[in-house]
Amino acid sequence: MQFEKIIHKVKKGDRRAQKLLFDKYVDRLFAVARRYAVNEELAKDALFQAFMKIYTKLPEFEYINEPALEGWLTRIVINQTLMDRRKELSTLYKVETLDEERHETSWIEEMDDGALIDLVNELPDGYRTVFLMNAVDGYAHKEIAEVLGISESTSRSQFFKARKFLQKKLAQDYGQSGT
Amino acid sequence: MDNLEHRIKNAFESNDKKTSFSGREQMWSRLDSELHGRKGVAAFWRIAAVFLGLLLTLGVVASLNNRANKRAEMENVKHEITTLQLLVDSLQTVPAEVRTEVQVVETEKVVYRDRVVENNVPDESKKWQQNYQQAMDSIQTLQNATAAFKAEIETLNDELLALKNRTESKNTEPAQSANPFELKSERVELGPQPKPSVKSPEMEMKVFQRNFIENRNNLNSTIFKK
Repeated sequence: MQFEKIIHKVKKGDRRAQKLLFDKYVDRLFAVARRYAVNEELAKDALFQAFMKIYTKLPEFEYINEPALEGWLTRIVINQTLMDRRKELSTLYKVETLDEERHETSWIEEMDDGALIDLVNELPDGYRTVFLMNAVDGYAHKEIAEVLGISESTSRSQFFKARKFLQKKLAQDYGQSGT
Repeated sequence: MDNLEHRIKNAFESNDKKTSFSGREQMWSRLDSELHGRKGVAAFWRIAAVFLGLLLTLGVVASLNNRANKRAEMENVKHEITTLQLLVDSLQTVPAEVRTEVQVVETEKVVYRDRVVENNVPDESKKWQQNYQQAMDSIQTLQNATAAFKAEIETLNDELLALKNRTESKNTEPAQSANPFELKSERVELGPQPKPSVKSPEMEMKVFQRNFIENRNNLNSTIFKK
C-alpha cells in the first residue's frame, strides 16, 4: 500500500518518490541491461534511457502490485537495450527449420550459478538474446519476434539451437551428458 | 519449462539480486537534472508560447482592423471620385451662356488726402474710424459747396449792386415829366352771397337724419333721387 503511494507520487513528478523508485530498482535493472548489452557502458546508457522512459510513461501505467511493476520495468530496460542492437541482431537470425531435441539432465541442479551464467554468456549473440528473453525474462516467441524484428519461427529455432549449444558445451566441459 | 532453462533462470535471478550498480549517484543526478531541468524548460516554452500566441492574435486583430479601415477609406475616396466625376460631367454638359451686361460707371471726383491707416486694430474701432472719415469727407465736400455758393452769392450781389446803380442813374435823369399811368381808386361793395341754385334736381343732397338705419343705406336711392 505504501509503495503504491510512492508510485502515485512519482506519477505526479515528486522528486523524492522518483529517487526512491530509482534506488529500489536500479541494481536489478542494471543487471538486466548488462545481460543484454554488449558491454557495461552500453548497459549504462540503455539504463539511463530506460529510466527516462519509465518516468515519462509511468502516469500511463496502472499499478496492480510490485511484481507487475517489476515486470513492466524489466521489459522497458530490455527493449531499450535491444533497440540499438535490433538491426545488428536481425541479421544474425536466419529462418531455419526446427529440430527439437530434448535432453533432460538431473545433474544441472547441482551446478554453480556463476558457471551457468558464464556458459550462457559463451553463447553466440543471436542465440543468447533469444535464449535469455525466453528462458530468463519470460518473453513468448511472438513477443521476441516483435521486439527483435524477426519471425516467430526464427525465434523458436534460435532458442533450440542455443539450448543444443549449451547441452553440447556442458557435455564437453563437464564430461556429462543427460539423455 | 525444461530443467536447464529453469536452472539458468534461477542462476540469473540470484545474480541480479547480488548485482550492485556503482554509478547510481551519478546516474541519479543526471536523471534529476534532465527531468526537472526539462520541466523548467517546458514551463519557459509554455509561457513563451502563450506570449507568442497572444502577440499573434493581437497582430491578426490589428491587421484585420487596419484592413477594414483602409477598405472604408478606399470606399470614401471612390465615392468622392464618383461625385467629382459627376460634377465634372454635369459642368461639361451645361451650354455656354452669353450674357450681356450693361455696366454704368459713374465717374466720381476723387478727393485725395493723407490718411493714416492703422493696421491690426479691432473691427469695431476700424468701423468707427471709417465712419468718421466718411463724415469728415462729407464735411469737406459741404464746406467746398458752401464756399462755391458764397462765391456765387457774392457774384450775384455784385451784379445786383451794379443793376441798382444803373437803375438809380436812370431815375436821376431830368427827362421824366409825368407818369403815363395813373392809378384810379375804385370801391367795390361786397353783399351776401346768393344761395347756390341746384340746376339738376337729381343732384340734390340729402342730410341724413339722426335715426339713420344702416340697412337702408342705399346710397343710390338716398343720395340720388330716381
